[in-house]
Amino acid sequence: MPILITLGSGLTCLMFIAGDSSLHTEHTVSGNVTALFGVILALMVFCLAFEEKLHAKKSLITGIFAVISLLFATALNLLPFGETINVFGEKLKLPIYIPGVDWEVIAIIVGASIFVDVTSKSGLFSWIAIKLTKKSGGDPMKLLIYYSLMTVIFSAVLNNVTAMIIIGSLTGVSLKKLNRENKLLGFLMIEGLLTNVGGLLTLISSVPNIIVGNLAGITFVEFFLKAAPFVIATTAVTLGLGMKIFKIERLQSDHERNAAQELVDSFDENDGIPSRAFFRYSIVLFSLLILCFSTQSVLPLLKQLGMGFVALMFAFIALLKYRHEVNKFYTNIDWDLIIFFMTLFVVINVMEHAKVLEKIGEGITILTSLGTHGGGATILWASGIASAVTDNIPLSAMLGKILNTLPETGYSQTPGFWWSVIFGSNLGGNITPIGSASTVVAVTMMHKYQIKMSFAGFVSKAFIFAFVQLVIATFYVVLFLS
Amino acid sequence: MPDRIDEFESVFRSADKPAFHFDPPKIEKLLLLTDLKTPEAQQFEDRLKKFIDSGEPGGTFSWKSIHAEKPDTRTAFIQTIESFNPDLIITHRNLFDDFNNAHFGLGVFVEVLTQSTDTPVMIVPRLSHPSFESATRKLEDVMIVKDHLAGDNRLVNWAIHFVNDSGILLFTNIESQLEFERYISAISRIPSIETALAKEEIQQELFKQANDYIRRCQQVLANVKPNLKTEAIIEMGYPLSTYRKMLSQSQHTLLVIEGKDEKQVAMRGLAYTVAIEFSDIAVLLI
Repeated sequence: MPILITLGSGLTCLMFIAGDSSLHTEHTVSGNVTALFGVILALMVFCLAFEEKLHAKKSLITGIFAVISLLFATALNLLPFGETINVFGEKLKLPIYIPGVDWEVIAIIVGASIFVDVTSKSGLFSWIAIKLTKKSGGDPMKLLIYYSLMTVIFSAVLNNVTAMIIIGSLTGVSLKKLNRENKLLGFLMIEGLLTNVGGLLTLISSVPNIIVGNLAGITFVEFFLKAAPFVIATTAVTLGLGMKIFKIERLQSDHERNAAQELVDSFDENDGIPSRAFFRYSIVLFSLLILCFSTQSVLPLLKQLGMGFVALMFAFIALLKYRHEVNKFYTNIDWDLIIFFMTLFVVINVMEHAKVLEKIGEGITILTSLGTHGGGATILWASGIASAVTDNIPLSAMLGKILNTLPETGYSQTPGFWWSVIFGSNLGGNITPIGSASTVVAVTMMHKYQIKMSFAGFVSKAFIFAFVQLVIATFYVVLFLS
Repeated sequence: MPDRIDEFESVFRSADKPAFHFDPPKIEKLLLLTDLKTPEAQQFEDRLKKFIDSGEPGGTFSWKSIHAEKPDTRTAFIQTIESFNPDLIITHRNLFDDFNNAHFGLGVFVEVLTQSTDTPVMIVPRLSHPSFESATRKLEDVMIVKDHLAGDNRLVNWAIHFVNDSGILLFTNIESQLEFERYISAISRIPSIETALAKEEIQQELFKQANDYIRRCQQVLANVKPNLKTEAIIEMGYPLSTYRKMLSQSQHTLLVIEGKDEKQVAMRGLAYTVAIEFSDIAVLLI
């Protein structure tokens, strides 16, 4: 029986499933079986939420649950074993868990992470950061504005965690130099919050964007054009609120301004540049990467090969500079994250076959039945609150899958629901210190600088920001993206 | 993640270069201390006045000379000095000592002086010492002595003050090979740190810090004192033998050394060693 299957980045092919007729994707699953897998899923989410307490890495948690899910699913005959045949009539023998993984997402993450790691060695990002520090003249308000803008842009083009590490490190060093360590808390807090705002700017800025955007078929340019106005407005509001709450003000006297200028002038932005040629090469490569991502959906060859291919291609081109020592860059890949994704996709795929996602979808249908506005707002807040306490990646992956399979909630019909998931899962990470990897980095840095920051302390300080951002997002999605 | 935070912090700390501000000390009041009796005391005083003038011809100073008996107490000694509030104290080795062999140390009273006051102290050989004449002939070249020069603006500014127009300001940064090897030996016993890499990179970073600071000094001095000649020596080695070799090639050199360490303890480490070893030349302890 021929069926249409969509794989990865919109590549569609006609597949013929051979073998046992009971291995159709359209199969009946008893309520008890679905409940069993629902419990497995809930346990996995619970374990992920208490990752710190369990002292276990994410990848191990999802890996164990992938193993358990696959074993149970196989025993209960839920999975479509057998050979697959591609559009050319070639028989492919793939392990059952391979097609469930969104390899496009994996390729984007691996490629982008290697690329960023290599180009950061050119000193490009530290050069920009120091240049702006000097331009600020050491004035706390200007410094915060520049650092915030850098946080947003770096989050957009690198990733949230790398952006927070770069800007946070510079914040620590520069505020210490300026004898303004009493402002560290405010700076790190605002920067941490803005990584999640900046993470909304482009399709590749955060993993939920990649997963949901990919499923929805949103192009890089479309994502940017739709998200940018929100990001600009929310950055401004967050900055204004932050300056007021943390009392970050301009320097008052000429004497103070001169002294601060002298201090920041002693930074040498060229110090971290090992080679001018590599520096220029990185700028060119970066610009080309952004251009390719922007135009990938229309460029011949690349539109078929996908964004993951683009990311990997640029990673390999960048690695030419370090061709004798590529191992160290492979070692630097966050394998915990990659294996986490792979095993998470396996679990979600099994849940799909076990009809768990369908059941959750029925719950989502209650929300979507509130209409594009009411439903969108509810989904936004629900995914925001959920991602505050649990990892936003499985949340966005599941919600994206569910929206993709529910009738009448495809992107072209109800784009607002999709944007609600994207906005909610990114911004929800600002509510708690464990809500996103970048806020975890921000809190780690606070502890490093001996700033006491408990869970409750973070929530009490960040809540107002997260609330305002979610309110703005609600209005924006409902009014402009639904 | 802590690795990456530290990686970027290191990048930004490395980019933070200590600035050099040209801020020459205002030397108006000089205090000359000696245990000599007249007429030797007067001879000593006249010689030192000429010596100081040679570094700053036409300079106007207010001189006070104390040709004193040995003080009874340390407090009385310090009070006598502080009552004048000098900008610079000039004295000779083994002040008030019963013996005057400079190789046994600077002398108790000179050591008390360096510990108890923040005023720079210039120490010259005793009048009766064979090297007194050569040590106090002329201020010309100045050698800044430090094991790690980085951000030592006060030291450099004082050194600049005494360089003659015909002289050279020599920045010397001699890292102790012995101390470095001690740390590398410890690192070589730590499996998680690659020894060869640590050795190479730490040495490079030490030299880079000194080089960056000296270059900054030279850039600033090129603007404010374009006629001043400067040189730099940045090495790792055995400081005493290195300085011995350098000083043998120069006739009129004032050594400028930091008299107190970071914990404000006087005459520790290189300062003491150099001051004792080179007892036949003038030394300025900052």
